[in-house]
Amino acid sequence: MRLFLLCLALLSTARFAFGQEDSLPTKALKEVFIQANRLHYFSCGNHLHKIDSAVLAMFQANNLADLLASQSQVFIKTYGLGSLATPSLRGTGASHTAVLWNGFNLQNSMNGNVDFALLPAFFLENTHIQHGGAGALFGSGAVGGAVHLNNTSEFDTGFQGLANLSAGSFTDFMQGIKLKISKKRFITSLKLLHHTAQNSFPFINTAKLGRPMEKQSNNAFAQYGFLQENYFKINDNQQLDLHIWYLNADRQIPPTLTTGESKASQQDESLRLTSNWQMKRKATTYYVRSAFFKEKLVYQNPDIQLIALSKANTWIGEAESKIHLSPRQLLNIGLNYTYFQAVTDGYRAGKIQHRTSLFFSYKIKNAKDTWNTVIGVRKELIDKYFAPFTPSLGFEKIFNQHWILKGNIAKTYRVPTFNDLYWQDGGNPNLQPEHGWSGEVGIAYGQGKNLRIQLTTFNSLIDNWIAWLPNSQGRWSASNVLQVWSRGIEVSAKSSLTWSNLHIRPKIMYNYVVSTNEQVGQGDEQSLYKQLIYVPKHTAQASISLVYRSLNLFYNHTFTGQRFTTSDNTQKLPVFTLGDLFISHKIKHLHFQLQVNNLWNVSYQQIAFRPMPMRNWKVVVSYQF
Amino acid sequence: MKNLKLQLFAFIFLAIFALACTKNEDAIPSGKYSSGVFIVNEGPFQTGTGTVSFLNRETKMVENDIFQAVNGRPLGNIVQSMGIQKDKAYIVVNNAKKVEVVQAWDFKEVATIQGLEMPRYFIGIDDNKGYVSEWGVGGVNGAIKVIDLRTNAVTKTISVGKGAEKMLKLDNKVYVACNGGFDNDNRIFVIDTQRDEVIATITTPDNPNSLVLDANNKIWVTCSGVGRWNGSFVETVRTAQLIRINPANNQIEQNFTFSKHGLSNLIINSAKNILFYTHDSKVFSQNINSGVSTNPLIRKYFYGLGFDTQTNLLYAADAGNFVSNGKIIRYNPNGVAVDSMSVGVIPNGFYFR
Repeated sequence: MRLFLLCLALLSTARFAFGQEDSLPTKALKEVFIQANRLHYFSCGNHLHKIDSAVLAMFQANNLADLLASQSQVFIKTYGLGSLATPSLRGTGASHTAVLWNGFNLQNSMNGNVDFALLPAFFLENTHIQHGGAGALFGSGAVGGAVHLNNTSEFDTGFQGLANLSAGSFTDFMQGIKLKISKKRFITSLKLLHHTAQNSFPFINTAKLGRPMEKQSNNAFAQYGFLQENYFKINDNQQLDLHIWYLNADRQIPPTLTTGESKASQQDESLRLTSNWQMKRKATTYYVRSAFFKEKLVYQNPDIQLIALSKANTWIGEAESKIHLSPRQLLNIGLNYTYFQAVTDGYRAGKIQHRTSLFFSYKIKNAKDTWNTVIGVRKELIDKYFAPFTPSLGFEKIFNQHWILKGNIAKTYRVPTFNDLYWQDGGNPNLQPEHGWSGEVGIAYGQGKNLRIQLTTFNSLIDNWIAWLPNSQGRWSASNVLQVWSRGIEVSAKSSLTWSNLHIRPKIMYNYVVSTNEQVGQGDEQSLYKQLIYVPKHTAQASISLVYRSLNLFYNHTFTGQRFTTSDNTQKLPVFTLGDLFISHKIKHLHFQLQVNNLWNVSYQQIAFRPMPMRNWKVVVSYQF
Repeated sequence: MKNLKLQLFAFIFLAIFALACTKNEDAIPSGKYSSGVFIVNEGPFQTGTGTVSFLNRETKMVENDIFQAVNGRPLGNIVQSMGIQKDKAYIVVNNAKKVEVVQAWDFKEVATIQGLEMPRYFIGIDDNKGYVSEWGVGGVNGAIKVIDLRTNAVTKTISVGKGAEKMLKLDNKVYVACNGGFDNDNRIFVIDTQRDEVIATITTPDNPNSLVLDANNKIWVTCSGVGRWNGSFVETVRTAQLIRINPANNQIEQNFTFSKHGLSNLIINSAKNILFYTHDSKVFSQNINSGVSTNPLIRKYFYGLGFDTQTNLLYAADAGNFVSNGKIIRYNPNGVAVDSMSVGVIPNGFYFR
């Protein structure tokens, strides 16, 4: 439904006012240059969810993991407060969700992951979650889905600024500033952030004799960074934009309930430079973009006398075009070249990889605009071998002003990470890319703004799934050993009611995910047909937002079903439910917000033996000018 | 002659006295776990908890994770080993840097010994004293921690080689094999248990790891050699060796060299004349009076071995995929499988009562 709106907006005006939350910024299309060409024009048939801008604003003092864990259907696996947090979409693993920032994949070439705990929501503007495989459009890694983080900016809005201060439990302080000068042909903006936290939350150590109350130790977090962006309107048909994003995080790594005191720490540093030039020529728009990412990670553990340094550089060059063949046909052709370079002691030598991919999408719709179809293909060359040919097919059909049907079938693949290939001991240079199929059918029902219900059922198979398993001598190594079948249902419903000055917006979401091993390695038979670890079968969220004049009350409740912690499903973590409350009030330029997390003071674990904080709070004050 | 008679008389008297005393003192309570086999399961790496399983020899039933069942809490990350002294069991939890003390007959928690760094094995010296071998900070600062079993506190640290591993007590001496920890070592340290001091070191082939005492009071030691990952497999840098030490003079009397690296899990049968060990993903047996057999006893990789002198059965730990529950297989001494049972994640050792 969400995509569908976009598809509609492309060549005609939107028919139904579905509100802004799920649709792409249709109204703003003319004023804002869209950088994420393929997401906006060529994604079709997938379940697409846009994080509501009002919700995003509430999470300004939180990270992307907090935001998605409570406000999306992405399951976030978090290792603790401030610790590593990775996504799982549709029962897949952490490296099976592509994370695209302004169209560039942020997945680390070494481990395939993006740590959502290190992405402050403060830097985000447009956040979309694309469920389901999108290999043809976005290449390796878009298996379970893709998270799109896009910065956008409007021209000619003058000078704007925002100062943000927050203070929270466990000595958590965050300061942020946003400044923007927006002229007719030129925008420059700066976002600055500094965040520190002790994160020494109290918990009951259920693994210790006498079950003492303890404070989490060795868990301090410090992060600073900036995002500097520039947009130039060269003329009416050309735009150039440049982005510089720097983040530096220093984290201690706390012990688990079952390990002794920890002295480990981790420093993450990233510099991301991107440029994007686009030009419109009658029926054709050209995009030429490039990126350079520099990432550094230092892991230190004095207990085992380890100081591990990893450095990864990525260069991306991409050129693509969007061609209006006719009022009913749109064509996308593009070429991407990516160069990865990584150095760590674990590889014994620096490693490089070249990837070149050619992609193509063709979109056709009927004259009445009630259906459209997109066919996409991608072919990628990785060093000297080809990734599997990756086609996709999506459609969206509007029956009437209430009902929409859509579907998508896509080939998916994931190139092995450098760690999988080269880590010593155990890396396997002969690994093949994982590959599979992902299919979905969705139906949406809408009644104007009052009610919207969406149901999507999906089915996907991933073959050659890479797993690290021990050989006959107990030595761990990577191999293309598993086949994983994931299927399920995603349901969401929301409503919007208004009585004079009072707006009530209830919303519910539910996911049912069965993700099982269909083929396993020798000696691993007990894992056959069993649910993957840390993939809950049931998750649900419910929220209600009450807005009265400038006062806003938002309550969110999440339910997380049991998760198995061993691959033979003999051990599991229990169900937990969490409540979060946000109260905010706006007085002229000042905005106050009180955030209460884990309102019901629930003791729970996301990952076995890693304690999570009980009730805690955060106060945010921001001044907008 | 007269003197001798007097000595003999005194000895018998003392023996009876001692027996009488111990009978009174050692009226060990009995419980569910008074007799049977404890199986130590390391548990999943990195996260999670290790467990102890219990096999009842009569019913052949295995009860898994008895510590959690009895005490309602997990043991901790990487349960390395267990030692029994008098009426208590000492469970060494490597990555939790502790030893959990329980009543051996019912597994009820008693205390937690802390102040350890990468502890590996426990051995009881007497009713009041125990030793814990540890790899130490960085995995290369091996030591023996002396534990006062009345207070469960560390009273002394005896510095030894890298990777202090298994220990063997003989009279008032303890032999500590130093397997290198995160590095390599080639020494066995001899400690006087009365003074808690190192009195000798024995230079051995690379990385000695486990030791047993045979019927002739000689010490056998498996030394694993050195292996190195070459990008596709672990190649042998220095081969493994099995050695025999005469504890009277600490000299190596006999030395068997293998063609590859990797040799561990040395155990001995009831009669103390047949050795069992693992090498090259196989189990071998060897009479103490003969050479290395070219035919393995069992062609299967095992993560740990044990020999039950009560039933004369060889116990082997199959860690399977190292992430879900493993199993144990029992063999007769000729290598014929008797039965098998499911246990916890990564079983590595057996303790017989």
